[in-house]
Amino acid sequence: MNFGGRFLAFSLLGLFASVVIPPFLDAYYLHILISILFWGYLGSCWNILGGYAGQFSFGHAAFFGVGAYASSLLFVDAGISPWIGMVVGAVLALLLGLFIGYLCFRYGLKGPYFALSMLACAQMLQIIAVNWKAVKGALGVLIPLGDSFLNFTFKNRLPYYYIILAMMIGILILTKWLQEKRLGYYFFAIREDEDAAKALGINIQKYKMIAMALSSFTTALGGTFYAQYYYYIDPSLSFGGPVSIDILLRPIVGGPGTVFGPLVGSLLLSPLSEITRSLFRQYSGLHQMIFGAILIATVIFLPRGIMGLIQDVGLRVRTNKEKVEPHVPA
Amino acid sequence: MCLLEVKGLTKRFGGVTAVHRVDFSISKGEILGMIGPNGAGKTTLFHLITGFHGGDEGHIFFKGEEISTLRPDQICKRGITRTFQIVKPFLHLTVLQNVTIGALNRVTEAGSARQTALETLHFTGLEKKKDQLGVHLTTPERKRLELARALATRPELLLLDEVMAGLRPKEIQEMIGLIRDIRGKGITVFVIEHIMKVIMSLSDRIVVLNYGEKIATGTPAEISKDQKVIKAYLGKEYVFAER
Repeated sequence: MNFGGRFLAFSLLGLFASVVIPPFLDAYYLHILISILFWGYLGSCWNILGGYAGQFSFGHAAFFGVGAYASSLLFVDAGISPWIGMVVGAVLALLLGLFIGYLCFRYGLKGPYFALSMLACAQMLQIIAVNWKAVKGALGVLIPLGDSFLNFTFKNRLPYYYIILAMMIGILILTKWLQEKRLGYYFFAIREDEDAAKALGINIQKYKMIAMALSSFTTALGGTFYAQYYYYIDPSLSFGGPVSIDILLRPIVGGPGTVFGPLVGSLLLSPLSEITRSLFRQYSGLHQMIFGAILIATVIFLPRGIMGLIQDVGLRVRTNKEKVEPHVPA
Repeated sequence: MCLLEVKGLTKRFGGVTAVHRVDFSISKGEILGMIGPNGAGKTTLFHLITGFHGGDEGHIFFKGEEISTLRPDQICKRGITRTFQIVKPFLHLTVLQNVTIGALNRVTEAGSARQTALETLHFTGLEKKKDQLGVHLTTPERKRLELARALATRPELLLLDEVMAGLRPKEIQEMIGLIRDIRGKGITVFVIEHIMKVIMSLSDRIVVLNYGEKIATGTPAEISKDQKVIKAYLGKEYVFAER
């Protein structure tokens, strides 16, 4: 079987296992699986802008928080189903993304300047949320408990698991799709060299905005999921710096600019975070120190993440094979 | 037929006038060379034509239409593509991906762009390297990739900024052959080159810049006899090279 076939078989097996096994797991393990998929999903959303188009956002919590707040407030204050709120939040986040994107890209903010602008945006939203009565200020929003699909609230964790699984599969398909299309090629070109991209006929402003739109919209959907899963959001849980860092950590460790990188990163980091959190309850924040160490190690030793390592090994195996085959002159 | 026409083009950087009232035109199907000492404004002129810099005065017409206010990507869509003096390969993409991105200028579908890219790689002799990452290429290969990527955009006018620099004599001969082949395909070529022998044998006509001003145009034979050119630029070096 060739590489593609084997890969397909593996993914189908993985998909089958992830659909069939969870009903037999207890709540704690289910929570870890949800955590893996949830952070893998958010990482994949970030990956479109940060990994593919190379626009390193340090403030994705802005979109996450807008999604979480929009659906929660619509649900609590107006009784509108979070499923509708989810879309409303995503559209608002998209508009916010286009607004910041326009300002940043129009004036050519790159690298650390763009990253810091995004961070500032998230921070501003956090401060606004803390001080604005209409969004319940520092108290946050409490989602009423319930068990109804229409209200996106469930007693059991299993429905949440299947929802986030579907979201994860959706974002994987989206990422894979754009990687094969002109869009993906153009994102890569912009990431690699903006001047060369321009000279080859790429309207870099336009394509950065597209990346921003896709990324902000999808990130906000994750925000709604978070609110409905934890039944509670507040300004720092939604817009805080740690949220932004948690979002970008998985794709960077797993492999930015690859379809499966964020999920692979999440497979490693999310259980680690959950386990250290439950093992060392008295030392809160320990998991963030471990994350910091992993991030430093990744940046130094695996600049292209785990997927980069896998690709390099694959390439080496293939080129070795070519060398072994005798060269037949034509 | 006149493909590109530059009229009174001027570009200032603060107090420095990098390009000063330059006029010239390029006819369809020719190879036009551009020479001039370091800092004469050659690359700046390329930046102006391809929209990377906006000019302060003057006009640029491509096929009769003003293009001096367009962005680089719009100019590329019209049919002018350039290479960079300091090559800019997409380092973490394969050679094939690099060239496919160029080919996407004319087709939206990635599959047919890949097909065009493969043809271009065959034409430029990079076929064997197609799965290598840009970062793993040698300097001559990078120069070739730069050229292949620009060609894949299917330009009518190709601007080459010192594609021979850093190449060995044998590689230079190959590159000259390649540029002639490109012209053979009906693509007009505008080339900056420092190596006199190359520019003299390759060009149909030559434009000479000095301190941002055009001091001469003509066939290689005319240029090499032009007193202004010999005085301003070729001078001792040329005499030296001839020996």
